[in-house]
Amino acid sequence: MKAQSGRVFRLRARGPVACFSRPEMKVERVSYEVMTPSAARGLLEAVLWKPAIRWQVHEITVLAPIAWTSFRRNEVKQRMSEGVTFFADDSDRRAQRNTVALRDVDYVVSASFHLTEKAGPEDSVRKFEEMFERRLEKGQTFQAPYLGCREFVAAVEPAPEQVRPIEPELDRSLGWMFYDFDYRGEETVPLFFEARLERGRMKVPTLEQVLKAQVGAGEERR
Amino acid sequence: MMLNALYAYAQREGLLEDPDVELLAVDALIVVGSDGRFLSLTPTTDERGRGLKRAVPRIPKRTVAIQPGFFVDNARYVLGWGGDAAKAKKNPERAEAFQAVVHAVAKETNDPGAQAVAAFLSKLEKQLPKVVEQREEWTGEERLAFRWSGDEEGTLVHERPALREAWARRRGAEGVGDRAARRMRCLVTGEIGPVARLHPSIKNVPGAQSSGAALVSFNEEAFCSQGLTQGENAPVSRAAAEGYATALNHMLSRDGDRRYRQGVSLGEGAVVVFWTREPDPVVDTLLNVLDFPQPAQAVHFAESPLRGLEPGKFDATRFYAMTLGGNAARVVVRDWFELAIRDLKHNVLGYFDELKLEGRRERPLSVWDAVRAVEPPGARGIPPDLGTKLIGAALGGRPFPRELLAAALRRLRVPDKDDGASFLLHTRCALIKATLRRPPHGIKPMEVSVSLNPDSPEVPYQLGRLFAVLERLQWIALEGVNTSIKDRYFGAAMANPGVVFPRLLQLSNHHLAKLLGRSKGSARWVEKLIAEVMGRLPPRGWSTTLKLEEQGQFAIGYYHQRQDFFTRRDED
Repeated sequence: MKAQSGRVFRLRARGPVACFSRPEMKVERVSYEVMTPSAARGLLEAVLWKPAIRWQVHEITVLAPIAWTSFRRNEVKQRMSEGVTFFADDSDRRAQRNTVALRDVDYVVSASFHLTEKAGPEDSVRKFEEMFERRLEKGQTFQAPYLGCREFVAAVEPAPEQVRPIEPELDRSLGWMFYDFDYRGEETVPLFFEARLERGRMKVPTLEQVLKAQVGAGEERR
Repeated sequence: MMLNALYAYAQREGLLEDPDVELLAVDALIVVGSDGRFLSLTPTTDERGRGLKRAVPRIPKRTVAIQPGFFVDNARYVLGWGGDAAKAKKNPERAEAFQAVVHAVAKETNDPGAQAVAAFLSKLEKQLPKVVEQREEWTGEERLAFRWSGDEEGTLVHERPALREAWARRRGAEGVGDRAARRMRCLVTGEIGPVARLHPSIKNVPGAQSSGAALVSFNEEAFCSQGLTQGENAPVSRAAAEGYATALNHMLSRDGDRRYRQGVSLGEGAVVVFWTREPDPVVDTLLNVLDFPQPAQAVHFAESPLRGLEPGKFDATRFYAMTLGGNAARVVVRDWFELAIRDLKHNVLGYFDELKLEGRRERPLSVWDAVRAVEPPGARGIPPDLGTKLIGAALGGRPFPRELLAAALRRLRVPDKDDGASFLLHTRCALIKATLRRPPHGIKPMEVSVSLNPDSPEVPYQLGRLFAVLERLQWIALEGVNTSIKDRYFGAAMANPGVVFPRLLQLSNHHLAKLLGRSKGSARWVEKLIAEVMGRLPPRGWSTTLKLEEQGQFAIGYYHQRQDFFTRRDED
């Protein structure tokens, strides 16, 4: 049985506001200039997610020029967890925080998926391929797709054949970008990769490549 | 990329040559003999009262815990002296901790300088009165360093090679032995190593605590993810954390008459700092044209205010700017720019172009002047948001904020007594013009000319002109007045022309009659002008209310017509 989908799916996501918070600036939020792979995965999973599949983002194409906006909001500073009840307007539990967000974003996410060990005998690559296509075409989602923060709604649709990416200076470094969390060990480890924007496209490495670079550089796992 | 760019700047400027030291003002030197005898207390302050800046071993970041510096610290640690009763309570403990370090190092290195200091501290109790009487006042905050009489003039004890080595060893051991420092990939350098748990604080950011605030911090549980604590949420190596903080502190420090060495103050709540990847004079030009004017630069302005914005060698290199504000213990990045110098120059020239308005000033309108001109009288300054957006218009080519239009109009309606009327009128109208021409998202831009445009089809503009003509008429008819129609009716005419203008025209009839008795020529001239302007108004009567943008046009029309009277008089 084929475990890897050979097809590359392309999803277009647009929205008036987006904030892909940089980890170092996540208290007084400042966004990355380009959507992060984990945010892109979130969009794909909003359309189709099953324990049997795992999405791999290959490329993020930037269609709209990178524009910024900023605002302040009252946000809660405490986590809601079991046994904790509080009102969001309780002034002791709120903090005013600034957000520097992106405005009028437009992306095309290219991705494929592979089956995980959770896939049962009744699951096949073909089945999920068709499900995803059908759901995306109809605009069905499990949850509202969003751009970095839940409150920044994304409009999601199949990408057209031809897209025109923005053209900043060729080959621009975006620095070390958050890739995803590695949950396998005892402690959660954030993973980073060196992001570049080339002719309006950001290539995304595979999880294996990121982990290999990590081990090669000598991170200790605990 | 922000932290990368700051770190790169610190490296380029040589601010990090030795990561174990930082540049701090030392207020006084304690000179000791080899046997530990106290010789003198030498103040280092210059005529301005500022202490000498010296590379000193980094003093630990402390809140309530007692953590001594290395051979340099404030008087409460070094002498156990100073501070009010509450603060002085822990002085003995502090002095003890400081002494412990000195004794340990003296033993470890056998360095005569260190031993002299150790000997001095051993008999501190006896010598303290002699030290204390050397200075009139002690707050406890005086930063003190040691000099050993056996050293050449100028060398301080902590600068002796053996002690520098000892300090580097201590710092190294801290990093390795620190249980909490987890090894992770640094998101600035990409290298894997121990991460900084707490980041150094940034000082001199408006709105933040005066003792300094952190740019990267996680002080509430909602700010943390996945069970990570403090600095682990944003892994940054200690070197990179110290690097970016040093760069920011360097740019935000005071320099001569400047409020910020490399930043422009945007009112009371925000500051913008900027730098370039390669050294480029564009930064100096921007500081000069965007900041509070320095007398020394006035000559330069007179020659060519925007010189330095012509195409240059490094046009393709990158320019960075960061607008910072404070939020109690945190530093907030309000805005962030990264663009090629070429685009920056284009944006800045465009910004000054939008602000260009016929009038008395050749000098470009600085952000500082602009912010001051729209500040509400007596209030605590404008919201930092406005300055932030204004700098966005200047550096980033973004729209002028609508708040600016509102603030400028509000100030036109209620001018201050000691405003320096024509000067601020020009500034405020220039800002209104710029906002009308480059309005925020979703509002249609308007064509607004630099000088009078009598054929403008815009009704509010013509109403503004009419108001200026009526004001002029009153002035020449009554030969000067204490309270003019401008003082009494300007705001109302701008907002509700339908209510005010009929009354004003009635008044003008009296003024005309009066003028006719004295100077037929003038009366006829004004009458013709009124007829001309009225001819451009729609026949169906007065508009009752004007919207914000229309009020802006009104103000511009008024300003242009008024300016036209001045130029005419100069020509006559």
